[in-house]
Amino acid sequence: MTTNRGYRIRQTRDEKIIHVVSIVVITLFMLLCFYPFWNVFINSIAPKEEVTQSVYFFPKNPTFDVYKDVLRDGSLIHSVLVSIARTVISTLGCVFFSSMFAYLITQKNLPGRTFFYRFAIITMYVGGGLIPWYLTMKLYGLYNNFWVYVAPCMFSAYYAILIKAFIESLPPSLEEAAKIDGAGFFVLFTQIILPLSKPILATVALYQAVGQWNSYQDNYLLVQDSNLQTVQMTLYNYIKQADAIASAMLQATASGADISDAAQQNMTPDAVRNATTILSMLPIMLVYPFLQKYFAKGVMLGAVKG
Amino acid sequence: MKTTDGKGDAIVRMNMKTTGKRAHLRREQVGLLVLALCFAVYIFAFCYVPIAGWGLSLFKYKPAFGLDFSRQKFVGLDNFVRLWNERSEVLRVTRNTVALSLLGLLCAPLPMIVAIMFSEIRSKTYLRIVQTVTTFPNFISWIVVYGVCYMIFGNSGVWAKAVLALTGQKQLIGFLGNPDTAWAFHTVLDQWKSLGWSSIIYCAAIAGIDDTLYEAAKIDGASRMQQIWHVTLPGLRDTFLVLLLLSISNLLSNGFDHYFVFYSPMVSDTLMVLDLWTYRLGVAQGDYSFAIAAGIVKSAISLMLLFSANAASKKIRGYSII
Amino acid sequence: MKRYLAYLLTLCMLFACMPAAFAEGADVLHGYTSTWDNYGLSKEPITLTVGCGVQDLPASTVDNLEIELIKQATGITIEFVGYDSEKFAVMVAGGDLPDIFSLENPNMINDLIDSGAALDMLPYLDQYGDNIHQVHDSYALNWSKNLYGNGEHVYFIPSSTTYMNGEVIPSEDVGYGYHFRWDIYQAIGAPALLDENNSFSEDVLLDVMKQMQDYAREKTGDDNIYALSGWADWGTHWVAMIPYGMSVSHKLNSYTDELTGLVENGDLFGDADSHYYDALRFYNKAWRMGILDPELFTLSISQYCDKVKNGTVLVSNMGFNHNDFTQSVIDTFGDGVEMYMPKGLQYCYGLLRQDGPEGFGVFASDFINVDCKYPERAVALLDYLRSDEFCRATNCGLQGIHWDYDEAGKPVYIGEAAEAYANDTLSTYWDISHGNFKFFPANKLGMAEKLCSDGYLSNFTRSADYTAMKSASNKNTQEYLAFYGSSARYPGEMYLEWVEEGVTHVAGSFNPELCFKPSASDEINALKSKCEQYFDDNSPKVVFANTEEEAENAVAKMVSDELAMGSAKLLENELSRQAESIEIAKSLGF
Repeated sequence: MTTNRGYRIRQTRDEKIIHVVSIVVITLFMLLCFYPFWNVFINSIAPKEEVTQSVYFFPKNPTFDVYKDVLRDGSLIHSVLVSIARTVISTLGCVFFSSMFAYLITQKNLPGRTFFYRFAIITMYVGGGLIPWYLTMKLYGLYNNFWVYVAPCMFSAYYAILIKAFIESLPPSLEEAAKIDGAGFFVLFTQIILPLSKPILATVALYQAVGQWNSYQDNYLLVQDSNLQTVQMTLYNYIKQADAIASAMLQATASGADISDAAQQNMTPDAVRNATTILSMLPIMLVYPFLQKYFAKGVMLGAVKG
Repeated sequence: MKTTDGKGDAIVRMNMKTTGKRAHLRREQVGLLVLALCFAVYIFAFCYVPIAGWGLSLFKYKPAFGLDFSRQKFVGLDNFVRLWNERSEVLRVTRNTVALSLLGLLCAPLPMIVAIMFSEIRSKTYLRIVQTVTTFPNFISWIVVYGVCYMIFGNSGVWAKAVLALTGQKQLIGFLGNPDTAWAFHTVLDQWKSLGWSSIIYCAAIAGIDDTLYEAAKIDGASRMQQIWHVTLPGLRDTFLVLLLLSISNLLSNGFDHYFVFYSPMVSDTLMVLDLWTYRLGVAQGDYSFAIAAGIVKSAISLMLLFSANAASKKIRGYSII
Repeated sequence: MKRYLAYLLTLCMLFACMPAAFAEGADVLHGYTSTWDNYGLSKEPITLTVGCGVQDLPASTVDNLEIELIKQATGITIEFVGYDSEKFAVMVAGGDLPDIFSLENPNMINDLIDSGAALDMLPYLDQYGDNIHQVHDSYALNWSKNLYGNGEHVYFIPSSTTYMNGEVIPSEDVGYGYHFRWDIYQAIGAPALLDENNSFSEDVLLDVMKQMQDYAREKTGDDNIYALSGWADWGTHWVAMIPYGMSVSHKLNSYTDELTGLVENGDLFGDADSHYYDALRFYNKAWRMGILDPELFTLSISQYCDKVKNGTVLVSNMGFNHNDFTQSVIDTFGDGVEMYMPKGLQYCYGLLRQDGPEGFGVFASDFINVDCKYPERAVALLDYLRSDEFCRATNCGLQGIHWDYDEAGKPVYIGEAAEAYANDTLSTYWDISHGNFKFFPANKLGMAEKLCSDGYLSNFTRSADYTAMKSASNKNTQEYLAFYGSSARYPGEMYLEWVEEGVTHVAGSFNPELCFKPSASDEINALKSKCEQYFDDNSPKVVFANTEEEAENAVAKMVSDELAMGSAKLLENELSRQAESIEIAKSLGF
């Protein structure tokens, strides 16, 4: 009886300390992450006079001029759709093919297994530079069309490494059971491995989706068509224009009317950058909470027993 | 089993060849090989073909003449010789790069610890909030981060006011202009920005740990701490090792955006990293050949680091990632 | 879940394939007849791609007056392509240059011409180049033809040029140079910047700044106020150029003297007596006196402007027209507070609007792609961009619609534009009814400023009488002029009086003899960048030295390092190119 009681008390106190410490540290860290984001937000809605005096908590006269200006241009809505299409297609493709490759490499039957794996990994460390990459894309006809956004992104060695590590940690009994039933590679892959790998697949999907949503280099260099501009490119152009306005004022070469109007005043490059940051974060902030359930515990429960 | 019929022998042997276990294996192998070759072709097309660009490092490349090599000036190994001639500078920037990377490596367990702390949170809603908010810094571009840092750590900001009030100094060279504290400051900044996002993968790994292991540990009388030590950490070990190995091989690459934005002549001694230095001397001046030459050297060293770290890992832990 | 995903995906693909719905532009011409008709070219609708730096792209191509004007008057729809120097190199390598483009990498010019990517415009200029001849005959066509076209071809024409036809008009204010917080300067008794011999003294200037700083700190109780600061994101050597060079030494970043244009003032690098190092010594003195902001080398220009606007920096390196200091400072500190230049500073940068036929030189020149399918219309377009009609339209709109001549022949705004001008809401007016046209890249395509044939500037509100009117209504400016006892109508005119007195200096007028310098070789350009980078990285060591001896030692080290890099070649090269230029000019009859 003493042992039982002793065990329970030790458990509760120990658990409690770790619990409390974790919560405190995490909350502090969360506040540390939240404040700069809040700072970005308030600086996007603060009028110019207040910005020069530094706004810390909330501006006295918030103004949404910058947002109104960004959203006024119809092309932003269109580019959001282009971005969504790009993100969804390339995420699905990349997750599927990277995990297929990862599972393929774990097959001991594959001749030249190590060779193929290293063939893929080495690409992470070697690159030809911007101009060779550009010429290659042009060579394949990936110029000024939608496929330049998705074709090169169907596989990533980095994600393959992560997924492979995860697959290797799965208990082999599941695979063996299915193999005895006569399952081949594709059946094993789609029916067993993919469902079990939900946590890592969700992670990779998230990383890839965010990477795709935020990328603009391929758009900048390879796509001139105004119907195929992505969100990041549109926002980047918007920031550059604010820079141009500010720079024209600095060089006193602003042609036309004097730039002394209140609306223009608030469109400083910093305010514009802050507003575009918030706008490009919004979709991720809305989507991410729904993916979190895949990182929750309990996914493995019953897998072995069942 | 033997038969007396000569023809029967052959038939039996033939059947064994096409239906026996070895035949089945070979068919499977061919199928896997074909699949692997498809991947190899794709990888070759998109990742190896541009490497032909390495040839440009042997010329003084002028974009105007495109691929018309009769008009491009062949200079042989001049670009590499230039790297050698600048070796004191190269060593300085490499020292900076490696110092920052090593500090980052020291912080490698942090995302793991954060993920473990996340798993301590019982309330689902709070967990979602915390997980979402801690990823925010990852989405703020470095330029905007610089703006926030300037507001807080600049001489007109709260940090300077607090320090001056507490120490009674008259003037402060803040973090943004101080080369001595640059390494520590930027490591902290880097961790702040990436911790939340990197912890996601550890959360996924924790989710993949079999719950029965925890139950077994509890039955054996393990405390929470012991559970973490004996169940969680081993479950995260593989992920951690993989990421650690990858970080070691990326020793020479620091975030270009990060250091480009925070660079100023005040901190040039300690904050000029390899990528930034190559960019200033190469692309920024239109000298693409030099940039490619520097890139080749960097790739070679990174690959050496990768294979060495992997060999070391195999020897120490018996675990190899490639 | 999967089903929803599929629906979402299909929807997105459909939308992505639809062309973006752009609004049809309003009819801006309202029956106005454009001078384009004089070219006799077809007005069939075509699209020309125009490339320029990303920072020069127009804010919006929808409802943009200039784009609509060009579309309706000429039939050409302009599609902009923005690039930075890296993307430009990529486009050149891939052969994807737009129809009309401006060079982002000036060092590439010889290669670009050698490779045959640029169209020779000379055959088209007789028929379609009247305005180009008017504006560029005096110099630029010769420059382009002889230096880069073997005397027979014109591959490019410079943009961002100023054509004043010989007339000289003072601007409202100088562009860069020390401007004091006038209220604080007055509060300390407005001491003159003169020493015992009644000549300008650096030390007196520093002392006056110190008095201002002490006063301001005492008045507000805030110790975080500094007299002097600067920005470093244009390169540290700009600190040497802009404030010091433009106020104290009248020597800037080139090897040439601003006033004469000649390469005279010795070496910049590798010479301890160069004005670059004099500037560093000046700032070091300021640091040792405690009037220099320690954050100087970490600031970007916008952060610097914020500091001036919120009062933590008392001396601005820029004129009050910049970055609307005036309005912001008034907003922060109330009426009666403005920034003005004190008498005695040595150089007035950009004071005079006078002929500037090189613009930014090779960097901002218009090329036409040799693969362009409509070369005549492209050349005619470039010509049209230099016409009176377009230059005036890009600043003030169209005659009969936005402005017209009054009885005295002076152009004035009419109708809605006049109301907006009276209420100081012109920018909103252009925004609402005509889009952000004021940011059409007139900087890089077309002229910076042109004196039109009616005797008024392309932006007529920058003419002398308009400027005088604006100053007359500003009480603070009138007080400023009265303080110096001047009868000038606006500060620019007063500065011209000071020039005549000999108190300050302005740049000489355009000297064609010195403008035919061939481009420097790749090695020289690389060496110059290297020296500049070295100077940028190491100047803080001089500026923040705590004793004069330390500073001199740091200077000596920098000088010897630069000499070891071979910096002496740079001056040699400048002198030889100058000699060549004078030769070429003579041979062309200049």
